[in-house]
Amino acid sequence: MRLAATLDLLELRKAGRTPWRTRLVTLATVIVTVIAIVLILATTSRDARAFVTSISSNFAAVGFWVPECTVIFVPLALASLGVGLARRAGFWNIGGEAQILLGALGGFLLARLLPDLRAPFSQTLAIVAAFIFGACACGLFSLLKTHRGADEVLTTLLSNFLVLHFIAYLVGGPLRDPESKWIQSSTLFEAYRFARISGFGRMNTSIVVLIIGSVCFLLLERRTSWSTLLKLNGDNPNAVSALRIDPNRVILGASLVSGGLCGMAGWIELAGNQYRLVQDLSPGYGFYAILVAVIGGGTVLRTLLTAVVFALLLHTIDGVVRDAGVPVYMKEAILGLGLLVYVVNERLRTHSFVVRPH
Amino acid sequence: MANLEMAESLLRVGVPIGFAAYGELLLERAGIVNLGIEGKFLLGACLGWLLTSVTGHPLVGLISVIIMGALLGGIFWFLIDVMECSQHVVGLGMGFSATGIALTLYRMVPAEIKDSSLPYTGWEIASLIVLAVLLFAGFILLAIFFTRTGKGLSWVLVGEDARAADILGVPVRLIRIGASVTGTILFFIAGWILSVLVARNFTLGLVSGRGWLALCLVILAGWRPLGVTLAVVLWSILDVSQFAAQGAGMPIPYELILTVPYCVCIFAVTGFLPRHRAPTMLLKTYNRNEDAA
Repeated sequence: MRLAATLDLLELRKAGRTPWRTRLVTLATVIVTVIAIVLILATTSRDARAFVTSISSNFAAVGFWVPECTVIFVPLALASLGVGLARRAGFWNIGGEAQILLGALGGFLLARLLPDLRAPFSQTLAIVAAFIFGACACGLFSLLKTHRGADEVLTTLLSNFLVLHFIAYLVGGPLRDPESKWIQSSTLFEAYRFARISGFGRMNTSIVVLIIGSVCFLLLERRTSWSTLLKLNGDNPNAVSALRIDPNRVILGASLVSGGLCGMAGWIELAGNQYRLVQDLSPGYGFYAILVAVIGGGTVLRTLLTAVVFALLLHTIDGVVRDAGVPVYMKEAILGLGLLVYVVNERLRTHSFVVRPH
Repeated sequence: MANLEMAESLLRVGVPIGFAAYGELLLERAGIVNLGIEGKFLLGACLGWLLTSVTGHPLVGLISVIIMGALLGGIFWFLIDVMECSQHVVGLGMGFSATGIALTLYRMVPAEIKDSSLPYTGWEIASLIVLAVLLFAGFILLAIFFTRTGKGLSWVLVGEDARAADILGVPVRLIRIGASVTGTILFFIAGWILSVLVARNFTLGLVSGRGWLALCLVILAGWRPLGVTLAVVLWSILDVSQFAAQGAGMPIPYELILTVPYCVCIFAVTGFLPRHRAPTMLLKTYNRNEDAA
């Protein structure tokens, strides 16, 4: 019983949300995180000099790293906007990976069905198909949540592995490229690809999709009542009911758009970067999107800004993985630590941790 | 002879997942969901294998993974119960961190240790049998514990209504920290079993979804100890028989079989199954100083 009494002494007490406290905690968190990331990366690299050279050479040529970062940025930003939108409405979309893969599958199947389509139509239709596939994958779980009470974190999380195995089956079986020795689908037709912008490395026209999407999102956020409705629903579904609006429909709408955006992200990764369907098409964008979305706090500009920072971070890590022998799995550790730092920081901004005096 | 081999494969598939499922069951009945099983499984496998091959003593590996599990279980409890952070985010965050750390650790291990798998000494299968018996006994004892003993009822009550338990004088936090620590230790032990007793080596894809699978099995069995036992046994049989079926030339793609537990699990949480109800406190934080909503 002594232990039980000791455990009960630890508690979290609400502290005033004073500006200096909020800022100090956030600043301290950011500094600690940056130092931790650099230390982790540096200690796992072959030697410190290779590490520094890798970073400096990576960022020496603007013509190199800007296009490289956009290749990461575009799908990541779309997925993050999607996850953030659903989060705002009170729906945790952890199934980004599944929707990314399904979106890519949707576009790819369309390309298989209509191989003769010309360029602007083919790309537009493929994006629509990707959106629909992703939206269905997410909307299903919102219906299960609202009508059957199934916790969406669990169902969307599990859908990731379900879809991953399903795609593995497809690319290893029905969709497998018979001429390749690798387990992958055949390459995508030229008409469906996002063309590379000449002179800008791997940067491609998919950035147009992101720009259009972001503008639509900004208008949605600033000029429509739907965004207010989403926020209201996330904070208090009863308030939405009081407006004689069905909260379930708000969640359904948000989750459809959320899944659709993730699906588009998947299609952009396929048609803009990799050109074929593989099991590990997404390098974890669906999971990074959760972190980007929560740090972005649901607003479009902050989410985009956070996505830029993450694209830079991922690009830097790719560089030191390639040049300085840092294990690629560091990415996963940093993602996890980032999530933990984020939640603890959120708590400490408004609460303080105390050991209750006797 | 074929039957003996079959039984051995059943043990190799079932025992690690069984241990992980046992840990998750303990946690979930106390109202805690740990979404980091996969990562902890992997970290346990990596640490267990590394220390076993460096020192040559499997028990050194076992003891160190137990210590590591207790430590991480304590941190997990602190974050969700004292800091009152979301169980989802903390679980996923710790899971990703553990996966990243385990695989990074593996990359930094010198190649001569990596290439030498542990030799078979013959006692592995004996230990697996002992562990399987322990596991069965453990599940049966857990079923009795949850339904027929006062302490077990308190444990279940913490998972159903922590406030009521607190009013009755049940040490809520003690039970929740106990669940976190024992649960996490069991995930780590599951990893140790997988790398040291089953595979005798560590590879990057060693765990490959077994942690998520354990979570699924607990949920689709309706959080009941005997149901989880049955689910683990059924999954082992399915997994082993599909290998046999493929050996016999029957083309059922393994990937499609892997999707089955996830489908069943998603179906199970949608409430269409009779007598399938989650512990009420699942995912909720309990603060004794705040008024009930």
